[in-house]
Amino acid sequence: MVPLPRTFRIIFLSWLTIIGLVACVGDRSNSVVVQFEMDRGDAGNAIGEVRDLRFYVHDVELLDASGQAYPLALTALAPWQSADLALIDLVGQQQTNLNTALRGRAQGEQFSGIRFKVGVPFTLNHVNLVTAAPPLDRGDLFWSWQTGYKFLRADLTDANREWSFHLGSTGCVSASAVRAPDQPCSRPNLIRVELRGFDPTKEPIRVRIDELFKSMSTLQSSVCTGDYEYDRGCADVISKTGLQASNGECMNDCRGQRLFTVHVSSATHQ
Amino acid sequence: MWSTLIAGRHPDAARRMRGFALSIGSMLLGLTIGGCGFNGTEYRWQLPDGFPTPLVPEDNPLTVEKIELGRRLFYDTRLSANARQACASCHRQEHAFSEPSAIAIGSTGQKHRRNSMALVNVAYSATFTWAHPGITTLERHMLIPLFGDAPIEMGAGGHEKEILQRLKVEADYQRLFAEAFPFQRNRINFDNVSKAIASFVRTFVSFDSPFDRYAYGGDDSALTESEIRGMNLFMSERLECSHCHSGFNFSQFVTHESNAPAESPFHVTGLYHIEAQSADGFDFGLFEVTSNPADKDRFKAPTLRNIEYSAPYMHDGSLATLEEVLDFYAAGGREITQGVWRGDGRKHPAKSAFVRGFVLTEQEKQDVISFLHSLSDERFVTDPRFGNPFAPDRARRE
Repeated sequence: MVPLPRTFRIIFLSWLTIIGLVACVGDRSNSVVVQFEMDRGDAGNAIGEVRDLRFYVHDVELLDASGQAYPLALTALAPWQSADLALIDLVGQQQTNLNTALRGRAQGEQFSGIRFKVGVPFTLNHVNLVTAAPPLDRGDLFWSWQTGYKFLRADLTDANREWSFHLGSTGCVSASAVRAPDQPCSRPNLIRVELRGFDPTKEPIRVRIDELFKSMSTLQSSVCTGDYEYDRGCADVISKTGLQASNGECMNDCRGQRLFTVHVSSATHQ
Repeated sequence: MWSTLIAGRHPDAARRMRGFALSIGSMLLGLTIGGCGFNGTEYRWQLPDGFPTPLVPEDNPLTVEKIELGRRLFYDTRLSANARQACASCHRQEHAFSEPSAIAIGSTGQKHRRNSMALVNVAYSATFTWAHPGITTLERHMLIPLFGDAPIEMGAGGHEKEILQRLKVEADYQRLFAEAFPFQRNRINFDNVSKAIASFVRTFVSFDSPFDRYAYGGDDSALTESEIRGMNLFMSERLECSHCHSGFNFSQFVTHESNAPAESPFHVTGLYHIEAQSADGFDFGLFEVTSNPADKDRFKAPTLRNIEYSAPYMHDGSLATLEEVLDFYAAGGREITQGVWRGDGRKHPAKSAFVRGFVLTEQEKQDVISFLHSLSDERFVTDPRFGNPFAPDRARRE
């Protein structure tokens, strides 16, 4: 081996230094944790058992006071998070094994709001369950290749009955239930959530199980799991999501959604 | 090659190197032989691409030797106190390791309240038996058929010594136990019996049905049009079947290497809702384990793979055919009008929200049945690796 000329070595070493400095200084992001909390609101004990309360979250952005958005880069943490998608589980199995937070990195320091989507993006939603990476390796959150995943799954009971609300895309066209659609589903049913006036890294986002429970009491049938437009029992609960059942899109950016709030409800915080 | 390279420059080093290589080589050889001889031969799962590897308890690594021993024990009637019943008596391969009778009858003739469960992909089961959240390994489960006394199944309780003695006097078993559990003295014991049988049963993997070839193999011609229509119905919100029979194993009770612990709910299907406050002999399912009144009549949703082979159906085998099961779910439960178990299951307060009932045309009904038949894996029910290892004369003793 011929020794490298001295100048080469100098250039090489200075490059290394620069790369090192860039690596140190370039990443100005901070570690961020965004908590979710189940809120029974004023429905209190009327809600019997919450057997399941899980939902997928993606496209998370933290907002500062000026409205500037800072994307939250999710940390890949199996089994709950990939870089693209997180699964929040507020009930878990026998009250253990919960996952109540989004974890990642974001630039910016002072936050006063958050924006995210509830659901699974189309490109990830219609995969082979068997080979799906976490957090999509959940058989009980999967309908089929055609329909994809349950974006939000809530199973409740009261003294008299069981009730379920499972939200996901509908109007997905493919050769059969186990073939993926080529084109996006006609009713995507992704909920856009934007919450302001709080620091999402310090205060939890409240998931209003009481709003779901109130929908349950107005239901004709005891489930709303797919026919969001024509199942009469679905009308009330769909209105809580801010979605329009007729086309699966947000009405007015889903600003009318009631499932995610920051304001502490009267019953739990006086 | 290294030694030649080095020898080119340092003749001395070559000799040292060869000596070094030899000693490393013999160490490796020793380890390999020792490894095989002492721990057994690691079993290699033969799973289709992408399917997750089942979890195996740390204290019972899966080895070829244990599986072979387990296979003998599974088919050996001498494991029951009166030497009349083997595991295989109620778990018959041609019936996907279940049996074609409503309820199981134990070795002494006592009636079980429940239908023998099929043993299909049990390596993925999060819990065992029809309704028990606490039994999470096959090793633990094995103690019920072996020692259970309400009812007596194999009736080993109180006859342990006698049964083990039958095994100890056989040269075949001495060898098989020595190969499977080489580190131990007094290795012919019930702990090892259950570990070996669990190992064998754990290998009962079935992923080679027409449905698998269509869904996972991508072969569009593997299913008929009727089967595809039935599959679409099965997975539709109209029928809601796939809420409980979900995922790659058509069961919610799935656990494996790469998933988080499964949510394992037990369900009320509306099969019974007895009016009487108590009824002797009535099977309340999960309630009998937890004593929580909310758990009355809850049972596990078993896998539907190979369901065609395992008639009759439900926890007590009270529905004879898949057609009856489909009618039952279409009606949203069952009303029993006579006898001590009378009551309207359709109105059970804890009935699963997904058992709402539905209406199918005759054609649609046939389509769903066709789809359920497409979950049959012929290779599984004929695979000689799972078959009886004894000569035919012994097999007849079962």
